[in-house]
Amino acid sequence: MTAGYRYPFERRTLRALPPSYAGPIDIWDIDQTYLDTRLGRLRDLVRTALESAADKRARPGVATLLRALRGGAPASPPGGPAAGPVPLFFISASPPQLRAVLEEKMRLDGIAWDGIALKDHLALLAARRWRELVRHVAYKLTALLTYRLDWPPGAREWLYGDDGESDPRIYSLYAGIRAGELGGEALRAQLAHSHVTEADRHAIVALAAETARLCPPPPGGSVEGIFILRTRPHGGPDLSEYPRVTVCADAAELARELHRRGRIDQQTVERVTEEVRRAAAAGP
Amino acid sequence: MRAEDRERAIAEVACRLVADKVAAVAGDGLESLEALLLDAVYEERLRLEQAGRDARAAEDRRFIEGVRQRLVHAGPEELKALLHEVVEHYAREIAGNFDPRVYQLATRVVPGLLALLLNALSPQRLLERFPELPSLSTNVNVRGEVEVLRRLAERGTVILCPTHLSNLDSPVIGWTLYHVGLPPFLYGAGLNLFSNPLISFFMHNLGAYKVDRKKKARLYKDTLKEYCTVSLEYGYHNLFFPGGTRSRSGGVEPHLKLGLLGCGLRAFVNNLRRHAERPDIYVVPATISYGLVLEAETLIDDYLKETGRARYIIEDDESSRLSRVASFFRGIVNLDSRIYVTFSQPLDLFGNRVEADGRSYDRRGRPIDTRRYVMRGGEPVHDPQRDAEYTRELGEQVRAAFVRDNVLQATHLAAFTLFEMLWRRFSERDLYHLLRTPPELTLLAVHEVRAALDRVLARVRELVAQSRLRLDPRIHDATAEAVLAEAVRVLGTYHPRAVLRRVGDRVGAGDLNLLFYYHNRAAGYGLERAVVPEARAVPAFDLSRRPSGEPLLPPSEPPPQIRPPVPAGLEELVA
Repeated sequence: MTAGYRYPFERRTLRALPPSYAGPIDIWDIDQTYLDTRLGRLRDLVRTALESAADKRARPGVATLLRALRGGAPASPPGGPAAGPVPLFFISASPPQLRAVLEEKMRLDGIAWDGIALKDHLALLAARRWRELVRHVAYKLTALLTYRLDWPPGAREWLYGDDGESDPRIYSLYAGIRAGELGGEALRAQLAHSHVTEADRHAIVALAAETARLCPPPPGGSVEGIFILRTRPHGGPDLSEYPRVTVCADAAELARELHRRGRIDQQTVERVTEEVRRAAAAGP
Repeated sequence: MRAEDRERAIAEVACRLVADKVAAVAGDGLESLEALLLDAVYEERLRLEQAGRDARAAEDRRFIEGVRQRLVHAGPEELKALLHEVVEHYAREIAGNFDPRVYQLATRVVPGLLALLLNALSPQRLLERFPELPSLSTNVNVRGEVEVLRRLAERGTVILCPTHLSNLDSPVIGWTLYHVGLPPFLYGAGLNLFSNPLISFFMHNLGAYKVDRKKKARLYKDTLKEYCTVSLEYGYHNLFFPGGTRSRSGGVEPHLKLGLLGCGLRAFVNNLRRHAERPDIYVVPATISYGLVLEAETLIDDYLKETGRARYIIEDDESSRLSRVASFFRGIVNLDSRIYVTFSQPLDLFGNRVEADGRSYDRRGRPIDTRRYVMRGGEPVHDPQRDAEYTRELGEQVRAAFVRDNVLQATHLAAFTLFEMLWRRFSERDLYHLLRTPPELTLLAVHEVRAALDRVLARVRELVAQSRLRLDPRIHDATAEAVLAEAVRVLGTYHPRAVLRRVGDRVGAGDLNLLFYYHNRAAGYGLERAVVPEARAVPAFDLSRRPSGEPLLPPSEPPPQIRPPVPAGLEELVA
């Protein structure tokens, strides 16, 4: 690994936010959070890789929720009326080869976005880093911190993921970094605990320091909320070790939480709830 | 046409046309039979020079060469015989075949097969829905005077005149007629449609008659008109596209071709003369509105090259490629995009409103006896000059119905708004310069586009309230944001390059030609003023003219020659 090493991923940004922007930025995971993806077996993985945009399904209510979040808060649009839609970014561990299908799926669902980061699986394969294909901590932290350098200092992150992989841990680490609680050796130790390689640990610690320098976090941190959707209706891993995380059973519960925090209106909550209810009634 | 009527019709067309021409020669001597035949030989040889080497062209060459050789030494009787042969040759080529077995197949099996085709590319979806298969009725929305049309089809003969945007129009209309319980109609289908093997098979066997627009001989055109006339007299409902060809610009047809429309009046008079049981013929305009158009790229390219004239015929466009047709249908189903077929207020042959009882009414709502329009001395007579005027008035009413019943969808309104905004932003550029603008420079702030679209929507709703336009009911109460999102969704997937794309908080064109194409469907309603009300006026596009100002489409056919008045009592002889 060279000194200029950075975790291999592909990032695309479609919008430059004004430096004065101080509103929310929504950052979503794709598989199992936005899309109802099954990744348990090899057969599921192959099917996910081959299916068309039309065949991909969004989790019930999530597309409606994403459109509403994009539209802005019901009372006053964040950042002022001319600021445009609320920034929406996706950070996914899918490979760039799926970019076209994912973007088409978003268009089909009427979701406009500002950026998507995808993990470069081919580069990892070329480097014989097999394990990195299924580990996401180093990748997502790198992607989040890299994006953070582009975002206005006053912007607040709202992070959305699922409990299927490492999202609670990644988002909590990121929130700790952005709150000034994690850095240097402490961060390095946490990363080591998450099986992040030495090179990535070094790169992430450096990136976190650079982010803190160029984009100093406000008191209490810049992460406004971490929302984790359960992938199964009942049960799932214990997430009590992540105090910043708000666990939601489904999109309806998430919608209620976002409404409580003033991000969406009651009508959206009702629509999302109805979609979730209908999907549950229809069965798997 | 059914097999039992087909031969009779061909013979009748040949006999009538020969008698007509012979009478014309005897009447005013303006043209000789020889001149007519020489014109046919000349035009055919000209056409065949450009034609390929296929069996059909070879057969045509043999035939016309035979006519030419016999013409050299032909006497008056031989000329008549030759004329009869040529007309019969044309009529045989034009006449379609209606095979009830194929119709049964088409109506019973094809919907199922089509449903499979729609999902064949996504076996996963097919399995999930099985045994419930998607139906075209989900996506093809039929509206308007359906019940009146049904009643009129029982009372008389109907000429259906739809707008023409796509090669899918014929199958869509065919399916629609079946879906609403009407019998099959005869179609006048351009020869190029027969290049698609799937569409061609059904065209051939469902009564479609071939219209070869490359054949310019007057005798050919007369044969075509007479065939239509005869089929109407036989009680076959007909379908003409009065635009003549697909709208290259994407706009509502600015000019209508009245030739085939005029056949209705001729058939009506003939029906009255022979005291037909059901002499009335009704004209029903129909508009077909697509959120997405299969051949949009080819059509707008053609328009922009100024070659979209009647003489230019696209031999190979997207509709010839099965993969694109499948892709289109898949797009339509997956995208939940709609095709709206709207049947307008039926008209009589003189442009008056017709109600379900089959009676015509004038503008004040008074019933009219249409027979009196064609009577002279108590007898129904043909009068070419008078009839041309009636048909012209009918054409105006058909065109007005097209404009009034055009259904604007999200794609049209969003494309219109964005294109007009760009047109004003780059007002120093001419159209062609504007269309070459790099896509990156077309990006506009989404809130500006949304505001303009909001004003356009408000104006459209006013026009809808005044019954001057129709709007996709799904967006009737939608916000500008929802309309924009829908347009981006629909226009962003089917075409190889997204027509409309959202890049972060901006909206722009991915393909300006196609943006212009979809924009054109909303042109002509004065919506330009709603886009940027305070900006300086930019002249609206006149889709019927070239940038130089000359008409883009060839002018209508010249009015018929004025003949000397026919002495009373001799009308029958001359006719």
